[in-house]
Amino acid sequence: MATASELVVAEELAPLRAQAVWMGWVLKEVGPLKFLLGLPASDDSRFFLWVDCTGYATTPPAWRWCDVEGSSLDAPHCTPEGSGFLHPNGVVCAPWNRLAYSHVDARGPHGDWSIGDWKNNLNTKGCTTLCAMALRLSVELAGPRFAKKRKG
Amino acid sequence: MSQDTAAKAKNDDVTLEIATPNGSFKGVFENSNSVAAVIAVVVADKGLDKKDTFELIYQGSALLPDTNTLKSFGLHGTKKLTLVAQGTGV
Repeated sequence: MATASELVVAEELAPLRAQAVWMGWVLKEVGPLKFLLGLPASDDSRFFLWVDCTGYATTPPAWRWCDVEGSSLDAPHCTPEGSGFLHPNGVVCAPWNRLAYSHVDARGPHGDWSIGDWKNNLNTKGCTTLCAMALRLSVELAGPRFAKKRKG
Repeated sequence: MSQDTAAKAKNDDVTLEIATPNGSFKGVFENSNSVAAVIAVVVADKGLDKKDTFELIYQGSALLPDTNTLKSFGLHGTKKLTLVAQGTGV
């Protein structure tokens, strides 16, 4: 029997699949709760994220920079340099990323957020679905907050 | 409508293909429409939450201020944009 998280992810993956095709993203589903997402960037390269939706949507997914195989998690050469969402600590800094919470990941900038209340966090804004989160990251990698280089 | 007027109207149209959190949207707008007006149409059509504030992104940049017209941003022909909830990261 599918878990609650698996049901939510299955529902939200449908628009994400369609968007990936339309936008030319790479999307590889690895089981019911994990997927690899490849997004183009303004430096003509592509960045990859390993997304773990375990516990979603009670807690947000974990968005981790990785290589094309979904390996080298958090490696500097897989991590964009930038500002805003592209935090200097190497994590996507947003309430919708589990790694932004300092009690989850030591690099997480926020000890002031409640992970169980991530959807109501004022900084979440409209990013309450997997597709909305992916779109936000695609915009960041194409926009001025991406420094057009990698951290290593 | 005269042929001249018809031709002018066609030239003033912008076809927008917009990626949104609820799937893609395609529509034709006069270039005198404001960005805010386009956002309102797309938000309604795609059933997005009207409580959220959205911005249209073209080639990595937000089309701001959204009171400006499509024409003022040099949009013509067919263009591919992205609609996202506003935010700068924290």
